Amino acid sequence: MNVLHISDLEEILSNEFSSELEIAALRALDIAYRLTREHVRPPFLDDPEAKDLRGHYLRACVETYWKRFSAECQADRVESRLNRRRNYYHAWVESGRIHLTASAVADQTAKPRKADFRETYASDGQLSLFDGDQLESDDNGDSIYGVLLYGPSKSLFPKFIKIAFPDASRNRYIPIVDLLNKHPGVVDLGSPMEEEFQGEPMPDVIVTPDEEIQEPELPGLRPIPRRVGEEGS
Amino acid sequence: MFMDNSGFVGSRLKKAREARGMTAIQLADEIDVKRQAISNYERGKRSPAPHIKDRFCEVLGFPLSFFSVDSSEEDFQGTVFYRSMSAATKRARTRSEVEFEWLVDLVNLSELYVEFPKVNFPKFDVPVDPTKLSVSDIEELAEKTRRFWGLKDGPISNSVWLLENNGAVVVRRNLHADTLHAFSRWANERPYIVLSSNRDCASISRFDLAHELGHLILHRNLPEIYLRDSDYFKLIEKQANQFSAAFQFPQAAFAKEVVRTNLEFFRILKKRWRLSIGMMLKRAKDLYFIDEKRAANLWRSYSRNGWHQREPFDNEIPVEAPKLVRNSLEIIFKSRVSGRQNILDFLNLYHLDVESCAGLPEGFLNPNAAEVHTLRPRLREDVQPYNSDKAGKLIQFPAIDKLEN
Repeated sequence: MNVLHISDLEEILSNEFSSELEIAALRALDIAYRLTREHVRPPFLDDPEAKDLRGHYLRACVETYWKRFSAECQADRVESRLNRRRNYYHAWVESGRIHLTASAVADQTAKPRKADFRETYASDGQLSLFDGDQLESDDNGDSIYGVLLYGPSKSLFPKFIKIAFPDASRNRYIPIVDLLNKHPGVVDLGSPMEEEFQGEPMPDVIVTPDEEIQEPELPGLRPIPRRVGEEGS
Repeated sequence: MFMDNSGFVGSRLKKAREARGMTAIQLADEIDVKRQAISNYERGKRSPAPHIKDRFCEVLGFPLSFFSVDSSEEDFQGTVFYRSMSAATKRARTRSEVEFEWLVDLVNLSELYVEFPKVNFPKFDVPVDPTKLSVSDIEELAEKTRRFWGLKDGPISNSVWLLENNGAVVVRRNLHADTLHAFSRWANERPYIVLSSNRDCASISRFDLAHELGHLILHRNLPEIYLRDSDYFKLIEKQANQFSAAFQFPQAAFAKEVVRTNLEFFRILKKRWRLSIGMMLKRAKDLYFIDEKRAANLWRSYSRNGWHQREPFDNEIPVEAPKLVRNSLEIIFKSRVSGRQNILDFLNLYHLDVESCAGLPEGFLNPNAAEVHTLRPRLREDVQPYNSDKAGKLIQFPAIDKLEN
């Protein structure tokens, strides 16, 4: 049995998933976040509705532009696929042995939301993938399923964009390439501190009462004008 | 002081020239005399001929009496605190100081007739050497100042009124240089704060005011020599900024209210506290709510939003207007204990200069301006019935061209 280490996977990625395709993914995310910032907000939508829609809108934009830009970069296969229940589409980008779908997560340590198609791709594939830092599987040259991880979807700007692969148990995804670090400047990172979506309900604040200052009273007229140089009032 | 037989005081010429921001050479060129002659006049070595005096009045825009009186030579016993001591502002500072003397004269004159609020400023035992003053000392002194005036930790609704109610004279006027934002000084045991009218942003102006308050309280006994040392100057400026931040947004309130440290949250806080987002960001860093890296990120976002030029709500929050000086003069005029011309005669100035030094509206002290009276209609005593049976007689007005002059 051939054992694949993470370093092997890094090599496969660099050989079979070109830099152009990586940049295409970044450009797609950049434009998707921008469109979401511009469209999903007042006055087009009220804040609560904008908040509800944001993640969905962002996902739709990401998948649309990721397909378009990947196709321009001559990916082997770019398409929209239906899930097993045939009620949702997801984008599929294939280059060499690397097969990717995209997934938004709340933070870098979070696992993508469970989806039937994801389970299927990860288990039906050729490799049972990671266990620790190595692939304990035959490397028989079959396809490897991974995920373009990005997020947070509630943020105005992306904070991370990575290509990750599920481990053997599919309990976690291990990032192999940090695309933001690898291709700096492609994505507008905006204000990394502005991660909280503007429409988030504000936390309860204990408001300190105002100090009301009275308008100055009109100065009183002296009964007898003081003489120049006279002390005191 | 040197006064010639005609009563011309050389030092007054210098003051007049400085008030107009002119160099001796510029004045000499205007008058068409040699530079040395101006120097001699100013130092009292020579007396100007009558026609030269007239030219001084004409070019510098002062009444002749201005040059004949020795006033305002007194020492106000206080260091002047400027935000910038750069060479670029030197002429503007000199100019402002001359105008400041006029302001003090005006206040002194007004005080003959009206009772200004008693000076009620705290006197703390502050070390003369500013290096002996720690950040925590400043936080404590700012808090004590609030308590001294009966304030808790909330946003101050009007900082100018607060100081005026406690005896400070605050004016907002042109300071002749963009980088000169404000200055303050104790004069005759009364605190004075002069704010630049160019700073039309309320939140920044509130910070400026509390900055000057910081100088008046922390550095009251500071000898002027400290200001000439750039390290000391930077230190006392920093201390005044710390005082301002602590006074305007006390640590206890900050800890209670700043539950998030992002720009959006500061933007919301700004509306209520009427303090700049930049100031809150700096305070968050100073109070260790955020680390260096986070602060740097926030400042980047701040710049990207274009907030260095204009922050949100800057157009909505009204700039606080001083009232004390104007109210005093209005009382004096209304009660007729003195008139506009008397005030100007006493100060030996034209009305524009007095208005300018005290930040009063143009024309406020113009003795020739018509007084505006509010006319109230009165009921007629002999009421004519509307339907009078006496028919009205129609009068034909002649055409305009037939009217005699």
